[in-house]
Order: sequence, then structure tokens, then C-alpha cells
Amino acid sequence: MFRRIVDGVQVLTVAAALVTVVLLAVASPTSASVDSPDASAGAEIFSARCSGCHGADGGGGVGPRLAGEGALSRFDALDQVERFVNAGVPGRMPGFETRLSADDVRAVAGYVWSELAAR
Amino acid sequence: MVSVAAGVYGSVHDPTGQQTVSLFFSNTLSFKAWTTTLIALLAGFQLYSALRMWGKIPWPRTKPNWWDDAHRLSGTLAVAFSLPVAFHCLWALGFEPDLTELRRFSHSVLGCLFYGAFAAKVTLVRSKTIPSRALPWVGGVVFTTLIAIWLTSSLWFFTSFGFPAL
Repeated sequence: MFRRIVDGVQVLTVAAALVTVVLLAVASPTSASVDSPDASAGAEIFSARCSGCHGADGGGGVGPRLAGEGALSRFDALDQVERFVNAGVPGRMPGFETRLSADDVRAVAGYVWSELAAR
Repeated sequence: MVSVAAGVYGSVHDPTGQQTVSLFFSNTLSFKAWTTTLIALLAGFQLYSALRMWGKIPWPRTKPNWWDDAHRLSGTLAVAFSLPVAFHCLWALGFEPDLTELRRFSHSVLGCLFYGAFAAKVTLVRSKTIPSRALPWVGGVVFTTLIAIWLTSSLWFFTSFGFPAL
């Protein structure tokens, strides 16, 4: 009986592994396309493209903390944040100039600058 | 081949930076840190049960008839639990090629190596031509790789963000 259960778990694990491989091949990031650079669009893009490293609330993770007195304290103006997001940091953070539209970069930089830094 | 495939995918895939599974944890990283800890515990049982199977330790004195199946189950569960973790690593974060980022680089290499070593072990278990004395060595590589993965991820996470960091 126990052996049958183990056999069943093995079959399910093989199936799960196959599903994982298929998902790796076909899964796309959550759509974060926006028409205007407002804060809610910025939040949506942040959730889709940044939260994996910087945390859902900007509290940090693999990447540095952005909320409150975090990494943003090194910037003086929004356009500096935009340039940073576009350029990235070699080996640490991907540049988003070729990954997001200029409007999307402006929206997410605006969200990070005005919403997260204020927390 | 499995290791190379994982490494190539992690290198050529554009990391999404997105959260994936988090279950009842506050975010995906917490979920990954705790799941990897559970996997490391299962790997510990794998090592212990394997040592008993090969007669290297005397306890339990009489090996229960379910012992071998429990060994198989713990290994299967460890791999099953690793799948959502590996998915986030590969899909959202990608392979770290920068040698100066030693923790992330070694974690990337170890992650790829683990699945290659695991595939080799499964092949070995089912092979009738490869000598069975190779099995403890390959199993040792799988176990060592897994513990090194835990050290470069969960331990780093708990020491960086506090414990239990749920």
C-alpha cells in the first residue's frame, strides 16, 4: 500500500516537472503595459517587473530596500531615477531601456519616487 | 545535459523580476527560503536512510520493510518541492554570470548542478549496466549540492532579513 502511494507521488512529481518545463518555456510576465504614466500604472509595473527583487512593498529582498529611507536617498530628482532604471547595474540589476517603453519607465520611476520613498 | 540546459535557459531568458508562488508567506523569497529549508531536511533524511540501507549505521537495528520506500518518498518530495523554487530562480531571476557576485554566482551554478546530479542518480538507480557502487558517490554529490544551495540561499536570507522572516 505504502509502495503504491510512493509510486503515485513519483508519477505526480514527473508530471509537475514536465509542467514546470513547459511553464518556463511559455510563461510571460504579467502584462504591465500602460497608456499614461500615472501612479497606479507605475504600481502595476513595479509589481510585475521589480517586486521579485525589491519586495512587493519595496521593502527589499534580493535587491535593496526602496521604501522609506532606502536606496532612493541617493537620488535628488525623478529623472535620475529614470536614468538609473534605464541603465541598470551590470551584474546586479537589469537595465530596462530595452525591456520597457519610455512611458513605462517614467511611470514606474514615478511610483518608486513618489509613493515608495514616501513610506 | 540537464545542468547545461538549466544554465543556458537561465542565461538567455530575460528575467521577469516578478513574484510567483508565495502560498501563505508574505512574499516569494520567504516561501523559497522555507521551502528550501524543508528540502534540506528531507535531504538529511535521505542521507540517513541511505546510510542505513547500505549498512553504514546500525540504527534502526532491524530495518523496517517500508524503509526503502520512505527513502524514495523523501527524495521524490524533495524534488517536487524544489520545482516552484527553481521556477522562480530561472524565470524571475535568471543565471548570475558575474563572478564578483560570488553568492549569487555559486548559487546559480549549484542550482544547475543539482538537477544534473539528480538526473544522473535517477539514471543510475534504474541502470542495469552501471556498477551500483557509483550510487553513493552520485547521491553524495546530490546531497552536498543541496546543502550548498541551502547555505547560499536560505541561510543567507535568514541572516540578512532575520528569522523566521515569514
